[in-house]
Amino acid sequence: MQQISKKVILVGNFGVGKTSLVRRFVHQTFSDEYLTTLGVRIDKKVVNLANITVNMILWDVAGEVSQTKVPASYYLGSHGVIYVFDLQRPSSFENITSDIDFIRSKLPNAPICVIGNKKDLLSDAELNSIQQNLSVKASYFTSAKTGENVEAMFEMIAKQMTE
Amino acid sequence: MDDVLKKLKEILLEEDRKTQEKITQKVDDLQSNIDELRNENLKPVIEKTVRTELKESKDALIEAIYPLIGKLIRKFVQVEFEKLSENVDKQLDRTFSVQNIKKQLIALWEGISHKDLIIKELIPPVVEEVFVIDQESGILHGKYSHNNTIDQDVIAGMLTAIKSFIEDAFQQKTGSLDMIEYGTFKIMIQNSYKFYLTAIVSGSVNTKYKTQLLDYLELFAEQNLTQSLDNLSETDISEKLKTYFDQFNATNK
Repeated sequence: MQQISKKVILVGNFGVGKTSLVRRFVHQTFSDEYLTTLGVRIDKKVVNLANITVNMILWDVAGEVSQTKVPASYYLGSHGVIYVFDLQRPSSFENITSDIDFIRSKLPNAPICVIGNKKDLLSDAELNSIQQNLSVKASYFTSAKTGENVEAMFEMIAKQMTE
Repeated sequence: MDDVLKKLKEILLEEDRKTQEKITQKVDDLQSNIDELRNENLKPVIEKTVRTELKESKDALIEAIYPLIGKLIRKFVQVEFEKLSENVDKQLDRTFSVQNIKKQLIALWEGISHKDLIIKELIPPVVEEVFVIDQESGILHGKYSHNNTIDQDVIAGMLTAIKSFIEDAFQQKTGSLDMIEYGTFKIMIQNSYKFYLTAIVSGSVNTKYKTQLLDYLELFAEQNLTQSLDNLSETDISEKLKTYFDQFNATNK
């Protein structure tokens, strides 16, 4: 089976659960110290699709999306983007449109997967209300705590990157 | 007279003597009880408390013993350097041996100091790993490895992140990170337009070896990576790296 490597960058406000999502998906992770020191931590997960194996290299980036503190070069060469926000914290998605525009300007051809995390803390009614008011359509609502939709979300971006 | 007094004392203090004996016995019993308690009951409690305390105050403990460990490591490194220095001195002392004169001539020929040549022989440099990494994404295109260390895809990503971070931090448009030193390892970087080559070397690396290796990395790139990397498989590049760098290590033994 053909095997390819793809770089996926995870961005989003502080505390939205990016690292927890990676931890839930990858199972084995490297030290969190890299994240505080360099502002990024790299992990890897192999995803087996129907006719191709995708070697996903996950760049878990700390800090705000458009913040100048995040080295612009971290975005370079990314094949896919996972934008994560916290469903419980409106401040984490109030700039979602400008954030997505910023990412698009950096990576015009990369698929962007918008994720609302911490689904387990909300009722269905609350979730519907957020969904209706979001300026950008979310691809998935996930829970890093229960694992709901985590695998599906990573598989979806793996598929989009190979299309 | 003495006997009479003694008899009198015995009669008068009989009661006190008995009381004293009883108290002594009680004290002995208490002492033995305390010892028993300490051994049977307190020991596990103390052990458990100490263990919990150590677990919960790991940071404080490390903070406390860190200077001590630092001193020990410093001492160890100092001793190792002294040993190395002694070996170098021994070799240099044999100034009049034919072998040494030969070495001096080789050093002169190679353009390095006599001492550097001896150190190179004592701790020969070895290329442990070589990676061909995409300049932007940090994706690994090929690898050569002596040992199976942690995931090389992750190493390639981290190296790219470190490289990007430093280059961004210094806002260098023309400069780039060329070397990272870590303990006894040297990570040498040969930059190209679309990719960069990284060689991880152990042992003593002098300037001549460094130049030689960087030239060799460039030569490898020129001879094997001129066409688009998309047309080359990771296996192809890795096989070529193996041929080149096994040969390089053999030549520089």
